[in-house]
Amino acid sequence: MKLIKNIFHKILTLLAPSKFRTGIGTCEELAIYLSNGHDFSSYDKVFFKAHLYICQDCRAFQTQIIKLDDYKNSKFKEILEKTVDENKAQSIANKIKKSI
Amino acid sequence: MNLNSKDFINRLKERDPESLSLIIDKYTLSLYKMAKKNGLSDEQSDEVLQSTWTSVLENIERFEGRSHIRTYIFGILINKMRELWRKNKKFNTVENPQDLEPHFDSTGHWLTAPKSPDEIVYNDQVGDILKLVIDKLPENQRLAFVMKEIEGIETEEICKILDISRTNLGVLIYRAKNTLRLSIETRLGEDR
Repeated sequence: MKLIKNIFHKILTLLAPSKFRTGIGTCEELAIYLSNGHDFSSYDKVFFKAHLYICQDCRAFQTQIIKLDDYKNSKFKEILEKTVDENKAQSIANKIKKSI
Repeated sequence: MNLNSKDFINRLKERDPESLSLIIDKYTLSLYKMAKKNGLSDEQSDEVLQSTWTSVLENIERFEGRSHIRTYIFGILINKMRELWRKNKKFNTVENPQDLEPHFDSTGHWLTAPKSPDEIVYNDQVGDILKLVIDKLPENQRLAFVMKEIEGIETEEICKILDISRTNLGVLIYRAKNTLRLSIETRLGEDR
């Protein structure tokens, strides 16, 4: 099934009408889209979903990015927050205010 | 209080101590977090924050109010961090050699396909890998990634702070995430 989809993807990107080919985009365009999320029109989204359906590699990329985002939004933010000493920030603010 | 109102901006320009104290109280913690999350030590963060506020206080008359006061202050912080990085030669201003390697062929297909995510199990190591790799990202990628993905600052504001277009920001975020993704894939893959 994977192989068939990959062949289908290659055929579509080589033989499909140029409008559809441009619409579904290249894997590179989709990678930029998937990394950024929401800055695309609904028209683009429909075609990109079609690309995702037929391209195994982009689906693997998408799932990796989703995992990375989930980790970054939960655990990694926590790790970074631990390095921030709020008292230190307050003491800097107080120092600056004294200089006004 | 609306920190972007004309009235408030005028009071800042007149160096009204109460208004200046208000913005210092409101933004120092965010600025400090931004400095720390970009890998600065306590001493460096202290130094950068003090010089940022000195610069803000010295030049506040020149603030024209075309952007939010927060954007203006963050823009100064970013410039101060860049100065420090250049002085310490901490980050490359050019892209990583890894980024210059093509990830796609001439028709836009993956050269090396991403591994199936089932092969990658996120564990405690991932945090260390991310910290290490973020440290090695070129400065613009790092700043864009920290502001958008970690601090959650709006796209438009980041574009103004970094003085780049939305498309450029999209590419920077993609490159940063692809580098992080690849590092996790490679390092966790090695352990299997």
